Amino acid sequence: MRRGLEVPRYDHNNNNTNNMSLSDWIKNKMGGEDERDARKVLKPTPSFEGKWVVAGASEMGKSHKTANPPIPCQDSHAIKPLEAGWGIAILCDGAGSAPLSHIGSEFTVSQAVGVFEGIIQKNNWIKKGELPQPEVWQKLALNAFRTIRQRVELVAEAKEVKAKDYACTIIVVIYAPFGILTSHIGDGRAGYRDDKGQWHPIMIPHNGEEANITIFLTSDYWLKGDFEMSGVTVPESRVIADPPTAFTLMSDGCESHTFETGYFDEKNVKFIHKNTPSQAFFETLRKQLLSVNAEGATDKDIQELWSKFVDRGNTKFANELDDKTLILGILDEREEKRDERGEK
Amino acid sequence: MGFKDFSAESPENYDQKSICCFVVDVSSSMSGAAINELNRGLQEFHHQISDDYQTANKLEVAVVQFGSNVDMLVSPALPYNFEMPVLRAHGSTKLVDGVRKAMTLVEGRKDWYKMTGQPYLRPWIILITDGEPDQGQDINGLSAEIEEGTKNKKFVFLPIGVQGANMNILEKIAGYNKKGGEWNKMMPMKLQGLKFAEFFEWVSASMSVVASSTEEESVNLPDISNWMEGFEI
Repeated sequence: MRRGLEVPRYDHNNNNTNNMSLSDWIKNKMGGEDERDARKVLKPTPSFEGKWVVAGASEMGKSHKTANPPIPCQDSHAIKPLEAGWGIAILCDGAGSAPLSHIGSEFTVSQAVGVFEGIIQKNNWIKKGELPQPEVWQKLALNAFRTIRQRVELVAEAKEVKAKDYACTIIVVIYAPFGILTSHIGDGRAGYRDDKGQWHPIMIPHNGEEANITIFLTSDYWLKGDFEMSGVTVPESRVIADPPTAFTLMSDGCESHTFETGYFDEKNVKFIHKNTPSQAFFETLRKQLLSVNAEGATDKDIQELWSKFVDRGNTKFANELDDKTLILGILDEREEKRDERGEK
Repeated sequence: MGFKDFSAESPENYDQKSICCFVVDVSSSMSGAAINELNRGLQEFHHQISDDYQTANKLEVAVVQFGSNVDMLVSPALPYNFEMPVLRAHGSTKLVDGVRKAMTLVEGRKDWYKMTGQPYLRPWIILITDGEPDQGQDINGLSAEIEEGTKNKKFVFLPIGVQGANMNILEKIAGYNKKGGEWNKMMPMKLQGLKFAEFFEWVSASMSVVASSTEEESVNLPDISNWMEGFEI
């Protein structure tokens, strides 16, 4: 089980050639402070009256558990609430073919939180109460991934391994009371729930011709920002200017248990691709999350319940061979506001 | 704590498919214990994948046998849609013809996946043989075809030698695997005694962990020490 409430900070002391922490080492090597250290104290947006409850877990898949010796969980995630109903949720899925991808995914997540938080603060989005224009966000996200990748390369250089040994995918969701920013490299899924209770997809996974082929942060193809996969650019970045009442992001190990991914049309002998969050699945969990929150569950209680669900919550999750990360954030609004919309 | 566990029903989705095509040697040298153990292994493999909730909906199996002739005994089908045949040893060793038949078969199946827009995984062709191919079988030609096929990611090729197999010939037709940017031969493996049951158990587990990416292909297979001869950790 991996906890996601606190931002993991990868400790580089194990088997290290120098004794400084990785964070210090990067500051030293890059000649600057991590962006988050320079953030300003901002006032919350007065209009935000709800509370985000965000549950996340990264659990080993069945094939990782039963391998001899067991293969570590190659997924990692982090959830970082910010001021005024803003927050960041990030996950990385380490490549099965990369020997150090479990370390790569954990390190990448920890760095990505700092880099994206730095972007939010630097641009004063919270204080201004605004989301960037799509083209601005696209450029910022592309540059952010380049920065994170550069850090992975620096670690690889220091450890005398190849950067590709740390290969992982990445999905970033920045949630705000009035919209969502997403950007990703690789596969997995993400979606959000609008204020009418309808769930929508917010990314298209980057898949190759074969179903288990994808692209990673350490791949070279996307660096110029014009590479396309599955009909979308890598990274694919979106600005959703619609108030979310819930959101989700997940690694590909969870997708067929949570999304409608497709069906075979027997009549026309054709597979129909779908990318639709399962309304029934997410609404059921949303209500349960709201309910335990109302009963006074602590963050720790919620994370424990959530880890158990992602590990073995139903037969499909229990039998999934791949590692599984599932993050679900719900907006616990004031009762009156939900009543206004006729929701229970 | 006292809170009720989370629970939710997952949606039903169509599973992406993969094919495992066995190309099995039924020449007369396989008669006796070898063919009996091979049959036992195949039957157990069929039971295992049928019982595995996930694999049963994903893995299509095909069986091609070669002796004096080449026959497709099982055309690609999900485990609950076919009966595993009982093999009988007879005749010579048309190994090259058998493997070519399997290559044509998996390519055809992939074309069907593509035509119907289905997501799929790279097919596996597993050759099981105990002897030398017949005179006149074009080993050099097959070797080039397998190199081309594996390097172009058309299929994964795994030759398995049973006691008495000419491992030099199997090495010649081994497939390729890219690791660290370099193409390496996936060397043939020799079965320890007649441990077919252990081998098929390994195949069953391996079918689910074939990993690949756009830039580095490698296959993280489960431990092979249970059945492979001379395996050392």
